[in-house]
Amino acid sequence: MTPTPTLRRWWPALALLLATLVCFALGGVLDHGALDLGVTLLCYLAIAQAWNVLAGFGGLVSLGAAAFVAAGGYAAALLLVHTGLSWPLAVVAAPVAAMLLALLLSAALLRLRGDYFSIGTLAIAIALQALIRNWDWAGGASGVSLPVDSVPSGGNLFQLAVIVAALAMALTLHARHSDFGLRLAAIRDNEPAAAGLGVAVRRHQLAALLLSSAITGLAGAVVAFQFVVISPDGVAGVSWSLNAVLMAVVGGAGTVLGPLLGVVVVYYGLTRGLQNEQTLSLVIEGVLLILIVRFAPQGVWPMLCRVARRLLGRRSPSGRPTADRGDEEETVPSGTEPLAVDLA
Amino acid sequence: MGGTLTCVHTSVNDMEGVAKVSTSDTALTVRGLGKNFGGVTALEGVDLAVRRAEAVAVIGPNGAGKSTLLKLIAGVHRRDSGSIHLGDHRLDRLPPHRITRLGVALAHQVPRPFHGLSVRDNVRIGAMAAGPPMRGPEIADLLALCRLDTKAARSADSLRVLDLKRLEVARALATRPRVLMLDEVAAGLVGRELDEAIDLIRQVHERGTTVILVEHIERVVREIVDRVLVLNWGRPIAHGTPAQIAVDEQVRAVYLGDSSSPGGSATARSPSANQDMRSVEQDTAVTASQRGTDDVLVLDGVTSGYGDMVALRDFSLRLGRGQIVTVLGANGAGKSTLCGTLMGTVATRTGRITAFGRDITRLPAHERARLGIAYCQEGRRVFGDLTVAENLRLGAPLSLGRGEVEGRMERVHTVFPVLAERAGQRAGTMSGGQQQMLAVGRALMADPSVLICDEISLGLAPVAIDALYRALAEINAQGVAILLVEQNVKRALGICDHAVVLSRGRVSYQGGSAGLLDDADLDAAYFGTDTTDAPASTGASHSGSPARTTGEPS
Repeated sequence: MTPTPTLRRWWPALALLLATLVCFALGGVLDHGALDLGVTLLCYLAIAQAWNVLAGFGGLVSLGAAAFVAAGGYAAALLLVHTGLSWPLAVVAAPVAAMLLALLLSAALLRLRGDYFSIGTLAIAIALQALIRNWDWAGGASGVSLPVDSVPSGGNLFQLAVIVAALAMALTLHARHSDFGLRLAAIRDNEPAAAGLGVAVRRHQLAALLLSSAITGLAGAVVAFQFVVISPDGVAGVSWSLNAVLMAVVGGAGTVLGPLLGVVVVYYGLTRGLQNEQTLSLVIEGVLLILIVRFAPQGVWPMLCRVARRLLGRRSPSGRPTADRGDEEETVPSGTEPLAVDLA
Repeated sequence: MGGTLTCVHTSVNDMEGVAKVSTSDTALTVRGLGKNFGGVTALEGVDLAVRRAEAVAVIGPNGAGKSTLLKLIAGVHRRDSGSIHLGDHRLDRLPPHRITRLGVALAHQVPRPFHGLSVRDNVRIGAMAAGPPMRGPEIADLLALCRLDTKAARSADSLRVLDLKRLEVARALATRPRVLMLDEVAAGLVGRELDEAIDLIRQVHERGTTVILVEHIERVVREIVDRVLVLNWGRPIAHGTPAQIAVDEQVRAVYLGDSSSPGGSATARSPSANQDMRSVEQDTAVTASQRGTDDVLVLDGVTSGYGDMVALRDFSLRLGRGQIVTVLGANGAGKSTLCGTLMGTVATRTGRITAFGRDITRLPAHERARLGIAYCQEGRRVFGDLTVAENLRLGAPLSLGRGEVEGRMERVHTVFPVLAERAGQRAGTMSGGQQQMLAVGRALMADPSVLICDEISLGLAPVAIDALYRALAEINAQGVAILLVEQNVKRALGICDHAVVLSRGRVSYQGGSAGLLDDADLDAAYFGTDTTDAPASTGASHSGSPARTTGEPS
């Protein structure tokens, strides 16, 4: 423990608050193109963090983020188109719709373990896309167009995206530092053992699923406002699910800052940077993923932290060592003997 | 001890009386408990009443249903019949987390750490289970009690087995249980480690916690508990004080075996018997003169380890044709590293390994296996979903013809008849002792000249160990040299020609088994000091441990 535990505990939250305020202020300064790029990045950040809480901390590896993007996006869009409510109400409706969908599916999904949960979520996302495609009230395959005047754009939309992303970051911080998050991590690492230590497994998993889908649904509303014309392929497409996984895993699932890095690397570095060479972009994404799985299985962010620690010549006591690092820690400097240390 | 329950019940009918204790001072009541897994009856008609602050042991052969009993109480499995009450609470319908919150904790036989979390966070999870949140100092006390205080900030996946077991117990204690169930937490501990474990359990018990133990180590049972329940094939067969159980004929027959009688082990070679065995070996075409010159395996000044750590230092050993050499040592002494170095999975840094006169120091693992060195790994490692026969077939080289494979299987079956009886059974459903026999049998399918056995008696009932050691003697009589890596000192010394004790990677004793029969000698070889010393707290005081070499192998 450091001499100032309070400061240590609160500085991440303070940093998040500051960053949010700065980004919020940027909404009035940046030009149109930068704002548009910003909204996209922030939406990806929110979705990747929501996935991170569910999978990185909770161990429920979802391949169905798209279902909740669609639930939020379509809920907001259909409310605007069919009822004429103002957009802030539509924004509130988005996470509610996504959570209702999650609640409905949880009865089935939370009975599935490991890979089966992943496949279940993937199936749901695909089924939902097919459902929307055949649902005339929701515009069918061609989708619906939002009334341009009644949705936020430019600086306002950017500021909305900042708030959504900040909520996602706050949720991740909570998962990282709270007892709730610790229990989630315990369930992830060994579910029966967690139950054996008094952790209510289903309740925690349901909470993680609901919170994660709420954030994803919120991001879905922002995506809908940004796209203006929303269609099953655009909002409910499988690429949302895959990007969420890719960004969080590349950056570092189960860490707070990893997905932030992952979003920048994957979206800004690859998707955007190699926009004109679609095929090459896919190849490079694939190679990147292989390299990461091989050399930084816990993601880029933990690897950078490790390199930084090594350069600074100190070991973080609370750091999470990788497997090979674990072996090193196991070692005892020659001279003192393992057993002696055991008995000490 | 004392009170209404000290009378011994040795028949199942009498067992029913056990449950009819007034509930006022009863912590836990189990009535008519039954559980089936598929068609297999794991438990049937088990009654047990444990009084508040009492310590009870459940013993029995592997597969008797001991762990199942604890898991049913903890809610890990659902019972099929009967009831479990904690005071007035009925437990058998509650989910496991509710049972834990009511004050029943189980430390599992196989540790189940939260790998991604630190040791302290692992314990914090348990501490959240019930009552007011545990404060930092309380958690620190608990970690110190379980000797994990120096490792609190380490990730759980960096712990070794001994510490993982401590963590399992620490987490269970953190839930502040009224009833603490410990499933073989002392398995694999020797010497001081065992003393420490017994001390810890006793301390917890003395604070008023009810303790239910499942344990194979007789000493733990004898020194801690007031009462013992013996299970066999899922049924209670005896019940009484440790002393009463120790002389119970039926228990001796199904569980304790002959070895625990004061007279010594059935397979033991006493110094004189040892001579007899030597002459038997000479009959099988191995002469004493050949032993010296015809070594099948020679290690010369071998040093190996992982990363920065040297786990085995300047180690030399000769294994003669048809010989049995045993390697002993405490946890972390370097025994498993030795096995890995021999099999080529741990790289040799310096020194030379020769097998059958050929330098194999740089030979990869699979080519060593082809030379006729078979390795029976620690922890059995049978393929649980495959049948016994399939497991055995996998032990034979691919190039072998069908007929030859069948021939080898028959030879394995003569050593382990039970493997023939159960040829079609899935390996995972067999008892621990049978699985270990299968693991040895699978190693024999390679028709080795050298068999390396790593901790084959770990976690087995005394009768199962008897059977295994009889088989080892038989295998050895067929001319197979055996390198026996063991923690079970008495058994291993009983069978070997030559013993080596490793202490912190170095040889601390080398010679005949007679030099280790005395407990003080053994302790000195294991830990470098005698038992009367308090466990030294610095590495420095250990570094001057006496390396006693009473003689080179003949």
